[in-house]
Amino acid sequence: MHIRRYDRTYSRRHFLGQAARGAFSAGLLAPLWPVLAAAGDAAAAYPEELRSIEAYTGGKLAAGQDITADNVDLVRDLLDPVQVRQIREMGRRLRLAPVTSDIMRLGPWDYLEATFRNKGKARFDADGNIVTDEGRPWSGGHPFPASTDGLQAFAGQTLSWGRHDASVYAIRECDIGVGGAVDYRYEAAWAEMSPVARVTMDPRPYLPGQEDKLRYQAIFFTAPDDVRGGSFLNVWPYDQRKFPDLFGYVPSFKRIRRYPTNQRFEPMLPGSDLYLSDAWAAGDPYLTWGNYRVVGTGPALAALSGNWSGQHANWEKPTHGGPRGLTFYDTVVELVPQAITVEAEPVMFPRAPVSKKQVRFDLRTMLPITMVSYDRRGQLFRSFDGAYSLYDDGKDRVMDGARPYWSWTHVHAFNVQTGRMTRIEQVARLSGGDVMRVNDPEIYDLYLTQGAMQRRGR
Amino acid sequence: MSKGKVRKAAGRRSETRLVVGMLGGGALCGLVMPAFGIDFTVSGFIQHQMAIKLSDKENPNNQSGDPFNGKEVPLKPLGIDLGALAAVNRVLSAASLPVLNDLTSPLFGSAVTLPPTGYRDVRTTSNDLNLMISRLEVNMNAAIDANWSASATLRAVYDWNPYKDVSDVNFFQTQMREGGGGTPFEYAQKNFMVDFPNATINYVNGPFFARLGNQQIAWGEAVFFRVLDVPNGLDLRRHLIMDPGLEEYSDKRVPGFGLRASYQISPDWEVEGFIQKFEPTIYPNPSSPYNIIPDQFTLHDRYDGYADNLWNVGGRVRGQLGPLGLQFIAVSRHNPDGAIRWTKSGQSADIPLLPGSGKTLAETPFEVDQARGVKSQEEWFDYAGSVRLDGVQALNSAVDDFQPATGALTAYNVGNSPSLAAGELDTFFWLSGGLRGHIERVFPYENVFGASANYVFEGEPGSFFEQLITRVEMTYTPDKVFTAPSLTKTFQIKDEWAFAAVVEKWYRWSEDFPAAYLVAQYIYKSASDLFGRSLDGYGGDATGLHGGIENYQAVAFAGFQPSPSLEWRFEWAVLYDVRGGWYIQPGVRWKPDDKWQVDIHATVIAGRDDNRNAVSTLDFADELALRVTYQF
Repeated sequence: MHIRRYDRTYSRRHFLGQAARGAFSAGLLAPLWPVLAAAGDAAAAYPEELRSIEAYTGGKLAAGQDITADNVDLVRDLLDPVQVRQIREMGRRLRLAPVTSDIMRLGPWDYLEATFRNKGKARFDADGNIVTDEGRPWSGGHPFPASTDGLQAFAGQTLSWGRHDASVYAIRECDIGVGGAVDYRYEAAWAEMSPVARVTMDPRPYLPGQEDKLRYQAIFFTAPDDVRGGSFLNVWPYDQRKFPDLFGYVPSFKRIRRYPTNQRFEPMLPGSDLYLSDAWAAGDPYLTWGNYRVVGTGPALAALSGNWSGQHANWEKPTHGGPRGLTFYDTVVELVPQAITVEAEPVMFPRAPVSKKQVRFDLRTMLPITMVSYDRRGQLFRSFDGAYSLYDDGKDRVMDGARPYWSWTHVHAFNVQTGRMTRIEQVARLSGGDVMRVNDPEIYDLYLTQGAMQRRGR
Repeated sequence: MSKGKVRKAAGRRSETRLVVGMLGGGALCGLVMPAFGIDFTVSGFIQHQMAIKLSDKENPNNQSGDPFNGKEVPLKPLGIDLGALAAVNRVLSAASLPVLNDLTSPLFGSAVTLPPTGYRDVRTTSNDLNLMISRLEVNMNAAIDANWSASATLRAVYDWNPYKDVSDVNFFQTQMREGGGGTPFEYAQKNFMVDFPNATINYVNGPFFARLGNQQIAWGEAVFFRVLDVPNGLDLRRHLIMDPGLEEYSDKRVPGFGLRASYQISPDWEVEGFIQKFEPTIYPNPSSPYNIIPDQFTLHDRYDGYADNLWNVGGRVRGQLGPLGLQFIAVSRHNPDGAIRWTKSGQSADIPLLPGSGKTLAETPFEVDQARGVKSQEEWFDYAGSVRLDGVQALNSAVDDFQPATGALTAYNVGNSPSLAAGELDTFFWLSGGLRGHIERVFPYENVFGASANYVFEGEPGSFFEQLITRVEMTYTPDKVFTAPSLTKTFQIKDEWAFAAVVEKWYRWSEDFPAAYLVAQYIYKSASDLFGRSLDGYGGDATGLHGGIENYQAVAFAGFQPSPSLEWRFEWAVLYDVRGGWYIQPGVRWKPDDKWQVDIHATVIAGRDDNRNAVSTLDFADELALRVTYQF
C-alpha cells in the first residue's frame, strides 16, 4: 500500500497560505531551482499530486482523455476563467498529456543552458533595466529563473520572446465571428532577432555596436491581396522605459513611413483580435507597465508538449468547437506543478482599454502559459492562450542546429465581450514562399531592415 | 497605307505581342514553376468603381460642358461694335478686304455672322456619372531561390462609358506610342487598357538588393503632397486625383523600366540609387470625364520620337539617429509633367474670308475650327483664367513666336492691354468663325535636390506630445522649367523651393475605439501650385486681367477612425488652399470579411472661384464615389 505523505489538500493549503501571506516560493518540497539544476527535473520539488493529472484528480482524469464540459469542473482551478467558459459553453476540448518532466524539453536547449549558466548574475540597474554583474546588458537565458517576483517574471519574458536568437515564424491567422465562420484569413511572416543576450548565433552575447538595442522585430503580411506587401518593423531600445521605433510599409503608400508606437491595444488588421501588446503576453517594454504583483500560485494546465502537427505537411492543426467546429485548435495540455499568476497594470497607457492583465507563468521555465485581461470597469475582456512544443513527434522532427526545434505552435486570442476569436498557428511555409527559420544569420537582411520592407512591398 | 500608319500599326502590334506574351508567360510560369520547386503565388481582385455627380456642373474642359455652348456672344472685332452691316463694311474697307452683304453668311458657314456673334453650336449634356469602370488586378510572385525572385502585376481596366458627350471618347489610348498605351508595358484601346504596372526580377544578397524591370518608385512621407516623391509622374486617366487622399498615388504613379538598387550600410543607414526610363505624366484624354485640358485646344505630346529614349537617375541616403530620421535625395530627371507652349498647328484650312490663308495659318498655333474652336474673346479669357494662363500674353506669344506667319495675317502684339487683346481676338474669331489652338508638351531636364527629417516626441503618457510625429520635407529645383502663363516657346524658368511640414498623431478618444489617425499638413511652393502650374498665371478673369500670386500654400487635415474590429473605417481629408479653396473628402470603408470591401467617398470642391486657388479648377467634379472590391 502506497501511503501518500502529501495529499491534494496539502498542496492546496500550502498555495492558499502563500497567497494569503503574499509571500510566494518556488517549490513545495524543496526550492525549485536547485532541484532543477541538479536533476533537470522538478519532481523532487513537488509531491506526487502535482506531478500527474491522475494523482491530482484522484484518478478521475488521465493522460489521453479529453477535458470537456462534462468534466471541466474537476480541473477548473488549473485553467483560466476564459478557458473554463470556452469549455463549458463553446465546445472547446483539451486533450490531456503526461507531464513533461525533462526541463530541456520545455524550451530551446541553448536558452535553458544559458539560464542555468547565468543564474544569479542578473540585477536591475537604477533605471530598472536588467544588467549583468558588470553592468552590461543581459548575457543570455532567463535572468531570473524560478522567480516568484512579478516584475522579474515579466522582465525576463520581455527580454527574449521566442527564446531563440533569431526566428521567423510563418503564421496563418483565422478570425472567427460569433457565428463560428472564419470571416478573415491572413498570412504573415513574423521575424525577431536579438542583438543582446545571444546564446546560439555568433557573435555572442552581443552584436558589437548594438548593445543599446533589445530586439528587431518585423511582421510582413503576405495574404490576402489587400494586405500583401504591408509590413511593420519595430526596433526596440534596450532601455525599457522607451517605446520601440516603428516603421511601416503600407501597400497603398508604396513607401516606408514612420509610425507612433504607443497604440498597442488595437488590432492591426480588420477582424483580428490580436494586439501588439499581446505578443508573448509581454508585448510592451516592461517598464511601460507597472504595479506588478503575484496574485496567486498553484498547479495549472498548460499546452507545453505534443502540439506540433508534424503529420501534416504544413503543420496545420485540426479544429473543433464553436458553432461550426472551427473556433479552437486541437490542443494538448499537461499538468504544470506550480505556476504563478502575475498581475500588471498599463501605467504608461492612460487610454488603454485594459485596466490590468493577469499572466500565468510556469515556474520551471518562466514561460507564460495564459493571459487574461480586464477592461476599465474590471470586467473580463480578453484572453491569450498559447501552446508550445518540441517539433519532434518521434517520427518527424524539425531541427534547430543539432537539437529539435522548440517553439510555440498556436495561439487563441479571444475577446470575451464580443465573442470573436482570433487563432494563429505556426506553419512550415506560407503560400508566398516564406518558411519558418530559426537562428539563421540571413534573417536580419531578409526581414529586419527598412530595405527589406521596401523590397518586399508592392 | 501612309508611313505613319504603318509605324503606328507596327507599334501597336509590338505592344500587343508584349502584353499577350507576358500574359501567356505568366500562365506558363504558374504551371511550370512548381515543378522546379519555385513558389509561385497568384492573388488579386476584381473591382467595380463608379462616381455619381453631386452637382449639375459639367466639365468645362469638354465640348459638352463648355459654358458658352448655345450662347450668342457679341463680338467686337478691333474693339468696335459691329452691330450694323455698315460698320462692318467700313472696317473691311479700311483693311482693303471685300465688303460683306447678307449673302456672305451661307458662303462662309458660321464665320462672319452678322451682327458679329460668337455662337457655339454644341449641345450641352447633363451627366449623372463621372466614372464607371471595372478593374481586374492579378498579382503574381515567384520566389525562385534564396536570392532571386520575380513579381508582376497585371491590371486591366474597362470603362463602361455611360457618359453623355458630343464626341467619340477615347479613354485610354495615348499619343505616347502613336495611339497605344501609356507605357511600353501597356496595351490600350479606347475603352480598355491592360498593363503591367509592376514586372520585375529581384535579387537580394545580404544587405544588397536590386530590382530590375517595370516599377514605381515612391519617396517621401507626406500624404498626398508630393514633395520628395519625384521619381515618377502620374497616370491621371482613370480617376484623376479623386481617389481617397489617404490612398496616396499608388494607382497613379507611372511605372518605368529601370534598375533600382539599395545597400544597407549599417542598421541605421541605407543608400539607394536608380536609373529608370523616363515616362511622362499621362493626362486624361479630351471628352473623358476628368479631362483637364480645354478641348478647344489640341495637345501634342512630344514624347514619341522626342523623349522616348531618355533616362532618369537618382539616389537617396536614409538614416536614423535615435528619434531623428533623415533622408537626402538627388534626382536628375526629365520633368514628367512637362512644360507646355504654343506649337504650329500644321492645319491648312483657309480662314473663310481670306482665301489662301490656310498655308500661313498652318505656321501659326491655330487652325480654323468653326464647330469646336474658341468662338469669342470672352471664352478665350474665361478659359485662360481657369487653366491659370495669362490670356493677353498668351495672345502676344502666339503672335510673336510665330512670325512672320502671324504678321502676314495682320496679327500683332497688344502689349499689356486686355482691351486691345479682346479686339484682336474677336477679329480673328469673327473672321474665322472659331479657332482651335495647338499646344505642345515637352519634358525639360532638371535636377531636384531634397532632404527630409522626421522626429518622434516622447511626451508624458496621454499628453498631446506623446508619440507625436513631425516630419518636414523640402526640395530645391534650380532653373526649373514651367509652362509660361503666356505659353511662350521659351517657357518660364525659375528656381523652385517646395516644403511640406507634417504633424501626425494616433489619438485614442475612448477606451472603446481604436486610436484615430490624425494628420495635419502644410505645403509651401515658391513657384508653382499643387499641380505644378506656374503661379504667375493665377488670378485671370473674364476681362483678361490677372496678377499671379506670390507663392502657393495649403493646409490639410486628414485621418480616419476605425471601429473596434476595424471592420468599418471612417475617413476624411480636407485641404484648404489659403487663397480660398476647399477640397473636402469624407468617406467610409467597410470590410465585412477578407473577400469583400466597399468604399464610399464623397469629394466636394468649394470656395471662391476666382482662379486664385488651385482646387477651383476641379469644381466640376463634386461626386460620390463607390468602390466594391472582391479579392481572391
